[in-house]
Amino acid sequence: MQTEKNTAVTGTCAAGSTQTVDRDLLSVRSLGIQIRSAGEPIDIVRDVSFDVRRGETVAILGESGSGKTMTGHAIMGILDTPPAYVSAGSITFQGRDLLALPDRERREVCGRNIGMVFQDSLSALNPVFSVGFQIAELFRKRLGLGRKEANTKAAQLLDLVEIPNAGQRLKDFPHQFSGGMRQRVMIAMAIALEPELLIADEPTTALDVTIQAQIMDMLARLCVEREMGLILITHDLGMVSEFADRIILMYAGRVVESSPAAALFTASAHPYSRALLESVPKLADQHTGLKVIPGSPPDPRDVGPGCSFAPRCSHAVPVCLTGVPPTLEVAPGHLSACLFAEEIIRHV
Amino acid sequence: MTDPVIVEVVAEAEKSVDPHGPVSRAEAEAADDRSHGVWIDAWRTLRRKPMFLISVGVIFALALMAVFPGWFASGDPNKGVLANSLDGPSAGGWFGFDVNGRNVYTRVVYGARASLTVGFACTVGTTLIGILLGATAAYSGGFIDTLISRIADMLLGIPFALAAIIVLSTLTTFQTPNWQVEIILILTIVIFGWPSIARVLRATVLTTRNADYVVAGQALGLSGTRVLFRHILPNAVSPILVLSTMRVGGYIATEASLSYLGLGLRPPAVSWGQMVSDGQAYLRTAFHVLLFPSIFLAITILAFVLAGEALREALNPAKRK
Amino acid sequence: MSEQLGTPLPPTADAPVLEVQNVVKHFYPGRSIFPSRRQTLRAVDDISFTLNRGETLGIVGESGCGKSTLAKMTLGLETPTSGEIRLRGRELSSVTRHWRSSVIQLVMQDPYSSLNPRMTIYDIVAEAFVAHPELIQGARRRDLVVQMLSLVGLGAHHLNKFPHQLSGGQRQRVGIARALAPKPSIVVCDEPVSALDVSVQAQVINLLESLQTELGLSYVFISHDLSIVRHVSDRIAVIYLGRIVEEGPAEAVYNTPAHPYTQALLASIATAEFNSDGTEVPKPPRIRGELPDPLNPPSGCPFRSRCFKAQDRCAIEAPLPQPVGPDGHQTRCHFPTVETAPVNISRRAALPLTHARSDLHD
Repeated sequence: MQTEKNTAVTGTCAAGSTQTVDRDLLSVRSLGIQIRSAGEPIDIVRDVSFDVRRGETVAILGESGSGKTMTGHAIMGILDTPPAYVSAGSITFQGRDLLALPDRERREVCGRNIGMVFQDSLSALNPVFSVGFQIAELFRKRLGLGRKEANTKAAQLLDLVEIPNAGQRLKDFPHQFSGGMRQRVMIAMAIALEPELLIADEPTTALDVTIQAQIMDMLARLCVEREMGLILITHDLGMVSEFADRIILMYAGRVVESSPAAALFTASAHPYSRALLESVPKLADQHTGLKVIPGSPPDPRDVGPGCSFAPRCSHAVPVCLTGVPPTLEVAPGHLSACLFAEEIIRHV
Repeated sequence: MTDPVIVEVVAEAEKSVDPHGPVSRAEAEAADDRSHGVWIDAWRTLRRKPMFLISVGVIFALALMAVFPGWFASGDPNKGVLANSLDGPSAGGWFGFDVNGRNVYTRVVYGARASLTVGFACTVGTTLIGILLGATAAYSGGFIDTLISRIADMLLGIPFALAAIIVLSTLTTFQTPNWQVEIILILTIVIFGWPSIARVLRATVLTTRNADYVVAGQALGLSGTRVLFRHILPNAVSPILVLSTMRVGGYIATEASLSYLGLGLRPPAVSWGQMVSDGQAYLRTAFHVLLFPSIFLAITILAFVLAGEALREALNPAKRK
Repeated sequence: MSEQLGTPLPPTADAPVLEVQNVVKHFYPGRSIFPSRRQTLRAVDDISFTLNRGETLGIVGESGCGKSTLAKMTLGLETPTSGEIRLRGRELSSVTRHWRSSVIQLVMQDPYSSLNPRMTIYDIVAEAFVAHPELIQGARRRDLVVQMLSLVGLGAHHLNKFPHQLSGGQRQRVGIARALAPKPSIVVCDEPVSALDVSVQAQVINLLESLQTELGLSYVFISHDLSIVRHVSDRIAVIYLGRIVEEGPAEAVYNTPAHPYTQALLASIATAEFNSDGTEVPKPPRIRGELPDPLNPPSGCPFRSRCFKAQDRCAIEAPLPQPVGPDGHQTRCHFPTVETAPVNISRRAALPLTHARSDLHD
């Protein structure tokens, strides 16, 4: 696992990587998402770019309102339209521009080649059908399998996501499963058609810590076994440090830092990531007075013309408030959207 | 640093770094002047809503019409000149004349009283009884809850129109004075109308009773009645308030339907329902006899619905713009 | 400020402010009329602890372990089935609501639902003075509210706002101001930061800690987030299915966890800990299985169904608390890990992660 992760990291570069084309899976370029309701359109996501390759886990890390979930929904084609629209950019999946595809083909791609796991497994599963029926239905409708064959495959699938007594549990309804088991069922359904890419939106946030760890271990194993790309949308720094290969850190709709996972924790190059890491209590220290980021994340409506973190930033100078800072490559594959990125990364 | 948003954020940030930043007396005084509660705030919001103002204006005018019909129309609503029978609208009779040659405009004005009385009394009655029984059921639980809930279920199970027809045809005859008919009509509607209000209230009380802010209030040492009246009821009742205002129109329509069936008010009393009932016989020949009372009925119902809708939005601070 | 706000305390400063003794709480879900069919949910099963003045007791456990029921009992909002709770030496069942609420207060998890959406910030905080009018003593109620708000870092311009107009962090500050207004000596913090954005959590934790020093408060700090509990707590109690399985000084519980459940919990946290060379700090094995049905818990030790050490004895005999270290470090386990010298958890498992995991899935 450790070695696998490291090799995956070294070859990757966020913007415009050209080598090893065959492993490229998804490429998001300058994605913009707007909410258009009464009044001025509100930019929820601005200029977001990243790549996902086979077998790679890319974490989109951010707090509430950072636009991480919207980005995931835009890739999956399930944005709430209206009022949300993709206003700019492109999403290329295996060489095809998803935004340019006709609706039918897009749904086909998103159902079969891209899978999605949601946070709330109870509302994502249909309460009136047994779990086995819901999984088997996928095989029957999408792959045209017979009933018996579909049921066998469903049982295998539940076994794969480590549900005990998979064969017997097929008959059970969603409410008869615990939260953790339901999340496993969700994952089983998302990977049933063997997608190349899985999008997991806060997959374990609602679960207990011990169960969280089990589920993440299992997801990581599946990604390795199936060479599946994984987009992990989360706010959990700890989880990201343990499971991601690359981290896309978002703040108020923009990518502020994009780097190999370890680099974000050992050599972060943006004041936000640095402050965030310092504000989280470590197991080793106690009663020390945590470093604080003043204020709170901005309302998307109130984001000024400059760097959106500037009002809370200890490095900010007046120019930060007037223009969006350029994205600098501080190390191979390590990008930071801060004027002082070079200075910050040297100041370890 | 000219952007007020940024200034605000920075000011906020400074305060959070030093949690004991002094708050000046002047600042507190300034806040004092703007002190107001939910109701005053709601009123300030409503004042700026044209839809609400128009509907309240209409309701007010209708209420005036019901109390002082003489201000709006001269003449006797029951006196007719047969020569004018079924004449269309003219300068002499703006809304035309009915089959007995009675002025439709005068009758519409005089009919407001009966219709509005029924609508208003039924709303107040069902709401009060519904809130009382619903809250009692939710609060006491156990046997009392079961009893109230089952009675409500039973009453809801009886088709309303059927029940009203049976009650009215049993208890009233052609000799029954109109005021008695009106009371029986209102009571019937109240008795069969409270369960739906009580049901909604029971559900909302049960959810708000376990709300975090209720637990916080209890932990604060507030008395049970204060928790009930400050925290539970305001949050549980406001959906009811809207439901009730919306039902005013429904009750007026019910009175109209029953009068149409000949079970409601009878001449010489005037009501819109009765006029619609009379008018339908001349639908093809003298449409105006049906049209004008119907328009008034529709406008009244619409005014109450719109006012209720606006009130609900205004009473929910989170929905306010 | 502290003389002004702190309640007069008993002369013996080290006397426990909160004592919980053998407290049990049973629920009877389903309410069958036949007593034989009645199921018993032992939400809290024989829990005892003491909280000293100025101390923070961290309570750690997964959802459904009984920690919230325990919190409600200490606040007098639930009555224990058996056992005793004493607030500053007085039996909780014998004190008035008014006295109780001036001693112990509550900060809740969700700052969105813990404030009445129809009340202004002023009204929310002022309610404390409605319940405790003696605190006003001639001062203007508004001044007192402003004072409470400034104590938690909020300006008077928030007075007439409604909860939805504030950010999550600001709302949580209002919740803290409301809890501190009756001048309690104990505050129960039930997951006070888990609903907040990561970048805001530190603000609230620092605020709680500085208020503790300033006002001499004692905290019962309930959380599932072990790194935060560790950060704020002096002592820690780990709860599993209604029982304290391990209790002791925070240092000891984290550095030399004796109970397999505590060890597994620590192993389950996905921590952002990296060595200086960029490699992750390795961790001990994960816990397996799920929480058993609380209506039908395993016999003997409740953790045995998920425990890698479980043996026949664990199914027959429920372990009693036994000391495993100094300063009252004790655990309920037949086979506790007893360490002589403190060992850093990061050095405990030398196995690479992959090996540790494959052991689990065998």
